[in-house]
This record gives sequence, C-alpha cells and structure tokens, in this order.
Amino acid sequence: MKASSTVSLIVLAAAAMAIAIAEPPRIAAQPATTSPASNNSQTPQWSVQVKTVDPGDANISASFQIAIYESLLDELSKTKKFEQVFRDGERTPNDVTRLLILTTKIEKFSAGSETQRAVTTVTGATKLTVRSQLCTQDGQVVFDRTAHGEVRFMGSNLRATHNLARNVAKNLKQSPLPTP
Amino acid sequence: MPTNGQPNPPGVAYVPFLVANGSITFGTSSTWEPPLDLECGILNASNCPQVLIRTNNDEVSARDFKMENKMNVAAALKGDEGFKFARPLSIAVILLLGSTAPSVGTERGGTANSPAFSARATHLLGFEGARKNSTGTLSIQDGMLRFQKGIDPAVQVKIGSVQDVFLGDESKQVGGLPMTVGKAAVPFGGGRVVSLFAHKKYDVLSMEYVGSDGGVHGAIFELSTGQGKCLRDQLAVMGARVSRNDQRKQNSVEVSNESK
Repeated sequence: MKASSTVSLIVLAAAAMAIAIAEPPRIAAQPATTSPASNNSQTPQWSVQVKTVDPGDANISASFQIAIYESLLDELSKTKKFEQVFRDGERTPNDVTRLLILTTKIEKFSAGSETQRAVTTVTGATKLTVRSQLCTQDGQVVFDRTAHGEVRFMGSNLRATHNLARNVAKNLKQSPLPTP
Repeated sequence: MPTNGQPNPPGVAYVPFLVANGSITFGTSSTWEPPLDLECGILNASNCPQVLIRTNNDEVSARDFKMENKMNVAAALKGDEGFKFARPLSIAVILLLGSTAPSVGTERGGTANSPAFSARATHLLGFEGARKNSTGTLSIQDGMLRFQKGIDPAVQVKIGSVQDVFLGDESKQVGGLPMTVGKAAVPFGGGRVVSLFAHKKYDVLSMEYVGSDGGVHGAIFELSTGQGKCLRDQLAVMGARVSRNDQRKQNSVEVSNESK
C-alpha cells in the first residue's frame, strides 16, 4: 500500500516536471508570434485598402455593414502591422506599390435583441460570421480566414461588429504575410 | 459706380447704398457688416481704408466720415436741410468696397440661413471628426449635414457627397451601465422584470458618403423615433441618394421576437 502510494507520487512528480519543462518554450513562443509586427518596422511594410463589406446572402442591415467597415479601419490602424490603411475608393499615392486589399463577406448573421438578452441572459445574442481575404493587387490571396463576432450579455447589437473587427485584426496581426 | 462718370480708381468698387432705420444697406452686399458701426453713430471704416464716400462735390475717406448719431441718419432720410450730409447720402450712390467684400458677404449670407432640419442625435460612429457615442445637434444647413456637440466646432459634410442613406430602428435598454448594474443587484431576478420595460426605440440613420480624398465613409446616427424619417426625406429633397429598402422590415422581426 505504502509502495503504491510512493509510486503514484513519483509518477505525479514526473508529470509535473514534464509539464513544467514543456510549458516555458510555449510561453516564450507567444511573444514570438507577435514579434514580426514589431520587426516589420525595419523591413518594408504593406499598406492595406479596406473594401466595403459585401453582405452576401445574409439579410443584414446597412448599419451593420457600415459599422463593420468603420470598425475594421479603426482596428487595423491600431495593429500597426500596416504602413497605411486606406478606405475603399481612396486615392492612394502613386508610390504605394505594396498594397493589399482586404475584402470582407458576411457569411452568417443572426440578429439578436438587447432586451431579450437583458431579460433571459441566455438568448438574444447577436452573432456575425465573416470571411476576410487579403489579396495583392494582382489578385494573389495572402490571407483567408473566417472570423466571428458576437454580443451575448451586455451591450448594444452593434457591439458585435466591434468584436468582429477586433477578431479580424487579431487574426491578421498573428498571421505572417509575404515580404513585400 | 461713380456718379460723375469717371472710371473707378484701381482696387475700389462703387456700390449704391440706402440709409434706412438707422442701418445702411449696400446695394449688392447687404450682409457686409464689419466696418460700419451706426449704433454709436460713427461710420467706422478704419479697418477698411479703401472705402470712400463720394458726395456731390467731394470724395471723402470713410475713415474721416462721422455721423453725429442715428437721429441724423433718420433726418437724412427725411431730407432735413440742417444735416449737411443728408441729401448727398440719401440721394446717392457710391460706396466703394475693397475686393474682399463680396467674399465676406457670401460667407455671412450663408450662415444667416436658418437650418432646414435640426434635431438632437447621438453619433454612434463614422462621422469624420466627431467623437463616437457623442450626443449633439444634427442639422442641415447651407447644403451641408452638420453635427455639433456643445461648444465643440461643428463637423460637416456636403449633402452632395452623400451616396446612400438608410433608415432603421433599434430597441435599446435605457440607463446604460449604472442601470445594468442596478438591475443585476435586484434580488430574485427582479432586474429582469425591469429590463422588460426599460427599453426605448430609436431611429437609426446610416449613411455612406465620399470624403475629400475620394474614400468611402460610413456614419451612423441615433435619433428619436420619427426624426430619422424627417432627416432622410430632407436629405432626399436636397439631392442625397436614399435607399428605400429600409431596415424596418428586418428590425420588425426582431421586435416580434422580443414580444414572444
């Protein structure tokens, strides 16, 4: 009995040590994934032009499309991954050759209700799913990801667009882009 | 417009004017104000030395031209012989303005117009230069859509640059975060009952417009129920493109869900 408890203690200690050994490199790797953005200050950076949101087949109101578009512009500027962030239709300077184009298409949208959320807590969530693509000017896709945004508890329905834009920007920040 | 047929001196222009009710109205620029101060009875043109007043015989610099008081001006209108400037002033012609006067007149004339639409609104996002979630006055004036919060400088866009306007409505919980926290603190789920009644409907007006750089901007405003439609119609009248496929249909589904 005593021997078996000793064995189990040894096994536990070994498992703990294994976990301790395995974890530090992962923790150390986390900043490494975000470091390319900071290293990009030395190498030439891409600029990005954000296109207006394509509603696709989703029955989404214009206010949501506009809010996604404006929030994306805000959030992409905050990432500092891109040298400049341009609006759709904006006249880009001739010297901007390293330009990527971000297109966003709504894949799924479920309209929630703030009152329903406040009353029931578990229903009435506003959910958004979009597909974001980043293309070069010659049409080569360098980033293709699906992102979600939702508001479940507190906040207005439009807050889902803010969360969505933040997720898209986060994905973009973490994904490596080809050297311009 | 010199009375003696002589050509204008370089840099000056002659404009006929009329003295009435103690104020001077200029023939073509009725809103030109700064150099004249009749309240104190003095024609003050010290900031505008190129202004000259021509009488029958003399040409006097307006800088030196003084009136004793407003009553003298009125007397001039009536043709009082005792007032030596009366007749020349009331009959005639002749004030010359600098080349800047017409542009000043245009600017002042524009601001004198009353707004075609004005309402309290909350700017949710997108209107360039305005803070998010700020409440102010949204107005249409002089072909511009203008948003002003308190004493902050107004932010405005040309209505001609508005590409599309959408109108929808939204139901929101009132009271913000303090109310939410208060509702959470009510025991036995009483806060949920409060939530059932503590909501209000708003009109949400979304628009797309083109900025000075050619880029597409989007802005969203929240207005009291009914005012969104007024603003949309006014924008349509003034040349903005308005989408008739309102979001009300979609939002009505949401409202019906709420009532279940």
